[in-house]
Amino acid sequence: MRRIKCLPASPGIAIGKAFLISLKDFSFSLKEKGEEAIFLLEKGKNILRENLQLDSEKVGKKEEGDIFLSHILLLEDPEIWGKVKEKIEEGKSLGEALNEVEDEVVSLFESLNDERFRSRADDIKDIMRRVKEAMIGNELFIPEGSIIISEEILPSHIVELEKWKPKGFISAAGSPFSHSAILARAKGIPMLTSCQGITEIVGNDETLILDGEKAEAIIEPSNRLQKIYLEKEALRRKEEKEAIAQRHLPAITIDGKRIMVYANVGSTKEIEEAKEMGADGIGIFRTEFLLFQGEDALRKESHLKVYRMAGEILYPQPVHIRLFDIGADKPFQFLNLPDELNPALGLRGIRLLLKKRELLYPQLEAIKEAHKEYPNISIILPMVSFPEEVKEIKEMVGEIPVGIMVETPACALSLSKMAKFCDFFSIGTNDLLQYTLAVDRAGKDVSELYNPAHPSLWRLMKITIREAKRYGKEIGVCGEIAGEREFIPRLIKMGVEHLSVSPRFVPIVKKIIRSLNPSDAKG
Amino acid sequence: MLKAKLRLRREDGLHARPAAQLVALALKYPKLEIVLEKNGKEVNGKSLSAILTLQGEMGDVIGFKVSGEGEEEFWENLEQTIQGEVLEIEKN
Repeated sequence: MRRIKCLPASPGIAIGKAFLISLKDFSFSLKEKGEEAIFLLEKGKNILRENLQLDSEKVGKKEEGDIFLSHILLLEDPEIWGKVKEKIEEGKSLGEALNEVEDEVVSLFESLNDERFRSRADDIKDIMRRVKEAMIGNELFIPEGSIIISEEILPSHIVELEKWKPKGFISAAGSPFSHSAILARAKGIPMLTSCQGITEIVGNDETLILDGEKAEAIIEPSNRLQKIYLEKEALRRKEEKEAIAQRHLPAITIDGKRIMVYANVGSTKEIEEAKEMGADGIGIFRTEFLLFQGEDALRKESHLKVYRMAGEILYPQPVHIRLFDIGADKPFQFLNLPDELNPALGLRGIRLLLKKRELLYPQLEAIKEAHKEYPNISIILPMVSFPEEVKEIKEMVGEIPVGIMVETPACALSLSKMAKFCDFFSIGTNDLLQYTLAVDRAGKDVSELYNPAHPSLWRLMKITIREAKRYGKEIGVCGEIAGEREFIPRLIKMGVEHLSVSPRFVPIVKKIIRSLNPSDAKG
Repeated sequence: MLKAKLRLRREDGLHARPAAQLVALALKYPKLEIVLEKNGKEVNGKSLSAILTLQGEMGDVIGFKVSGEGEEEFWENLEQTIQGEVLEIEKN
C-alpha cells in the first residue's frame, strides 16, 4: 500500500480500478510496453470485434458485408497478431509493434504480382488503423467506474472521456487551477493533479483510492481501507441525494441563521442550472462571454436580452451582474488592449472599464434598462482598489444597488472607505489569495504554494467582515473556498452572510450549512 | 492427419471471398492445424492475409495438410465451400 500526496483539483472521493492512458496532444501515443501493451491490444481488438460485427450486420450479405467479414477475419489472423505480440515481447511499444507489422504485411501484399491481390493491402491498412483507433479515442473502451490516470489531462480529454462514466481523474502533472480541473469540478468528477510518479507506480486494473479531501492517491489499499472508503463513498452519495431533495429549501443553521447560497454563473445555460439547483440568487454573473460577440458587445442591445433573461428566471431573487472583468491577458482583439508585462497588476477590472468607456457604457445602459423591468438586478464591480472607482459608477447608475468584489488587499484593508458607496460586498478569495501571497494560482511552478488555508487570507477576511458589519452591508464569499467542505464552517462562524458557488454545489453547500451551529463554541 | 490436393474450380480461385469463407470455416476448429501449400510455399490456413499471398487462381493445385480435432468434418465442409476437384487424398 502506498500513498501519494497530490493537489486536490476537484472534490470528492472515489475507489475504483485504475485505467492508464498515455496522452499526447489529443491522441494517445500507444507508448505502452510489455504486459500493458498486450492488455491494451486485447481490449482494442475486443471493441473492434464487436463493432465489426455490428457493422457487418447493418450492411447485410451484399458485397460490402464481405468486406467486413474479411476485416473480422483479419482481426483473428494469427500471422498478423502473432507478429505484433512477438514484437511487444521483444520490448517494442504497442505503437511501434503495430506500425512495424502493418508495414511488413503491407509490403508483402505490395510485392504480389496480381493487382487483385495486391489491393488487399488496403484491407490490412484499414484494420490496423481501426485497431489503433479502438485503443485511441473513438473506439476506446474504459470500464465504467474506472479511475483514469495519465501524465497530463487536457480539457478536451475530460470532455471526451466523460462518457465512460469514470469515477475520477488523476494526473501526474497539471494544476488544480487548470481548465481541466475547472471542467472536472463543473462535472462533479473527483480529480487530483500533481501526483508525481503515479503513472509509473500504478498498473492498469489495480484498485486505488482517490481521496479528494486528504488530497492523496492510495495505491493498493488494504482490504480494511477499501471497506472504509466504500462506506465513505456510499455516505457521500446518500448526502448528495438528500441535498438534492432539499435544494429548494433555504439554508438555515441550527441556531437559526439564514445563509444565502448563491450561484456563480458565466452563461445563460448556467443561470437555468442555478435556478434548477435551488440557488437563492446569482452571486456573480460573469459577463465576459458577451465579448465573444466581438464588436457587437459594444452595443447595449446585445446585452439586454441576456440581462432580462437572468432577471426573469431568478425573479424575485437577486442577480448580481458583474461588469466585464478582463485585462491584457484576455484574447479580445477588437478591444485593442495594450500589451502589458504584468497583466495581473495592470489595466484590468474596473480600472480598465473606467479608462475604456466604450466598453463600460453599453453594459451600464443595458443593466439600467433591464433593471426597470427586473428590479432584482444589481451590479457588482471587479478588481476594486480605490473608493473613487465605486463612487464614479454609483453616480452613473443612480438607484441600482452597486456592490464590489473584495479581491485586492487594499480593498480588504480599507473597506470603511468603500462602504458608503457600496450596497454589498463579496470576497473574491481566488484573486485575493493570489495578490496576498503574491502567487499565481495557475503558475506551473508555484501552484503548490497557493494555499487557501494560509492565515493571512483569514486575517484579511476577518477585518473585511468586521468592517462590512459595522456599516450594515451584506458580506459574503464568492471564491472557490465558498464551496469547500473544510472551510464552510469557519466562514459561517466568522459571520459570512452569503456563499456563492458553482450551481452544482448549491445543494450540498445548503446541506452543510444546515448542520452547522456557529454560536456553539464547538461550531 | 489428412493430406490432400485440390484443384481450384471456382472462377474467383482463392481470392477475397472464397479465401474468407475458407478462413471463417477454419477458425471454427480451434484444435485443428491447417496448412495450405502452393508451389512449395506453405501458409497457415487460419491466416487470411497469408492465404491471400498464395494468389490462388482457378485451375491452381492447392495442397492441404490438416491435423487435430475435427479433420473429417472440416474437410467435408471445405469441399462444399471451395468446390475444388479433389486430386489426391490421404487420411492417416
